[in-house]
Amino acid sequence: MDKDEKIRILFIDDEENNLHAFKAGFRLDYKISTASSADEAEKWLESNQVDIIMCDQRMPGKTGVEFFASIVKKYPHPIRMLVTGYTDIESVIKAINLGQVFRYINKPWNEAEIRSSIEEAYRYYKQSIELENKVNELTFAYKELDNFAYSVSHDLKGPLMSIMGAMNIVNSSENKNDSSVLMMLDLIEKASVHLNEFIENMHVYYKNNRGQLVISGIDLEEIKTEIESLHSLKCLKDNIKMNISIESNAGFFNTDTTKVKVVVNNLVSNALKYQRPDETDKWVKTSLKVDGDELMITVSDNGMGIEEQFQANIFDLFFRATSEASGSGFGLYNVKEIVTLLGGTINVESKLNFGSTFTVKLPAK
Amino acid sequence: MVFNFIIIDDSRIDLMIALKTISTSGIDFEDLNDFASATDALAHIKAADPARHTIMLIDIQMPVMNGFAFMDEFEKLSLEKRQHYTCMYLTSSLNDVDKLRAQKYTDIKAFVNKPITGEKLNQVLKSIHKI
Repeated sequence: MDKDEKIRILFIDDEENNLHAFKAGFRLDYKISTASSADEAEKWLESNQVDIIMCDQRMPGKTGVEFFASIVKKYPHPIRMLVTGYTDIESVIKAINLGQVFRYINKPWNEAEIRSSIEEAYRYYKQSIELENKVNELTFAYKELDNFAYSVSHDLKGPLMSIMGAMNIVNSSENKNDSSVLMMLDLIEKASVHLNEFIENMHVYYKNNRGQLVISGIDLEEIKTEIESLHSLKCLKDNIKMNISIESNAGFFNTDTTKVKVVVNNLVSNALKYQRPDETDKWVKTSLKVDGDELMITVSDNGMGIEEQFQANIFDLFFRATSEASGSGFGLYNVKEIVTLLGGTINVESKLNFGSTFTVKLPAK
Repeated sequence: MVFNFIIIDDSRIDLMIALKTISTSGIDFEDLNDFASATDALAHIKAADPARHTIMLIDIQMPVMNGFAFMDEFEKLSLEKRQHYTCMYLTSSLNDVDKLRAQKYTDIKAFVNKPITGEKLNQVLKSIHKI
């Protein structure tokens, strides 16, 4: 065991001689603190942490059992051991029921017995703390899962209900060729696209949580071509100028290319999605730049921007800062997860009605 | 009875569907206002001086201000103003917690599941306003 990680023991006995003897016998292996009364021990516990508390049973004022019973609620974690030369079955039962003691040690003590009791108590102490941490983690995970299931079922159901609603209108329409039917068909298509996007994003989310990194040399040209072809139609339709510049001063750069693509694609999609309709010169500029052992990705737009009060939350799962466009609340969360996974950073600079710039920096893998 | 309608939903598709459904439901109405954001709807209600009774359909899950936050604000308005409105949630939520929470608002008179249809709307209005 590491020197700094010595088991911490508080030993309580009203006889100074016993305190000295205990300290002398065990101070090399354990971190020993002593107290000569229950009151003194209680005071000491207020400002100190301890793994094991050993207490003499027969003391003036409070007995050992009474002392344990009085502290068990406030300090449930330290393991309690009762030391006494006075053994009757009554006090043993009390010790176990009231003081919840782990061990009962006879006086005069046997050093080997004490050592093995301490080691065993410590193992038990570690295990209970670990168990408690695990329970807390699980409780938290369950809560997260509840929230996740709630949001996902809502977001999956939303577009489907839109489709069903539009279908109702189509079906109740007398003339299947009238303009409202065509409008509803258009809405059905939009809702389907939205639903599909959501499912794809959910898949990315799942893969991020499970998947391993696949490291290989990055091909900036390939990313550029792929992003351009993915979004060229949208750019044409919405009249947005999209520019992607690539630059590298290194022979190669190792990273998970698929994940980098997801990052760039999400940022570019957002930049294209959150435009201001009344802007006549809409643009989205993307730059991918390898500088030595760092890849810097910047995506800028002159779109709607993000209100300052929401900027801290935009990377949260299911958070949406605007009702202006239909987002899934997955996109930036996924981006942030990937960036973190790759050991990088992401920053946003944004001004409402002027646009946003996202900057991602990734180290070489 | 002739109503006004207000629809609040961040999904533009659902707004469109609600508009279309109301106009073909056979219910008599004068004004039909739709809002993609609850904040805008609230501003409208504060400024408006409705001449006739208004049916308000409110989505629950919305960014920025959701349906619950909206009702928190709405219930702060004077009774004189509120009496002109009949509020109901129109939602795709499956969640019982949402339903329970909706019941806490005395001004929420119904909880309607999406998709909205003419029959559903007629039925709800019949039970509330005895038309």
